[in-house]
Amino acid sequence: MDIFKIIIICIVSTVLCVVLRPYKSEYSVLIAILTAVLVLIFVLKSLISPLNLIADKIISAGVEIKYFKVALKAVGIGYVTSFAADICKDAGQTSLSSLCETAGKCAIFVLSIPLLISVCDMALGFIK
Amino acid sequence: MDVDFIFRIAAIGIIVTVLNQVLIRSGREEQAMLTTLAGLVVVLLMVVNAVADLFTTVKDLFGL
Repeated sequence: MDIFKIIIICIVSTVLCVVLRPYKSEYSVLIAILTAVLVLIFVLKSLISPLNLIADKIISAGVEIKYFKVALKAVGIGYVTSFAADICKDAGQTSLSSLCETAGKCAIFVLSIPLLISVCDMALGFIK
Repeated sequence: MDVDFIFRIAAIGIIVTVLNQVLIRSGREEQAMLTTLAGLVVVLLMVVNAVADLFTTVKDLFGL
């Protein structure tokens, strides 16, 4: 995962965005979106092997994999939401970007409900 | 990492801008508008395909 390639791509596409902004501002937003997508795909592809390693380690340690999966989903939602929110903010639509963030927070909250319930049951078990 | 996508979109943007000016100067405003829309549709299709790839990658990776 060579960081220099990503940095060069981001700089070049920023220059392209600035060049195209006065003539066609929609193309500069589209270039920004495409660069973000390509870089994210490149970065996430390099995340696959470490995550599998961690999952195997957790399974071998006998810890329940369910909790790690929920945490992983929350991280995934976080990535996608921040990706969308930053692009909306970049294009000038601050209301849409905060909308994306709120949606992401709600999604993560809904995701964590089962965990909260199991923690409460555990706590109640101790009290009784 | 297909970087040429970015340069392809920038090239389309520049070509559409130049075509737009040429058509406007020669008095054909409607065709200029159509060229702009056509360029935009092509670029939007490419971007949407790339975003679809990103979402499938995220779904596979994080199990969403």
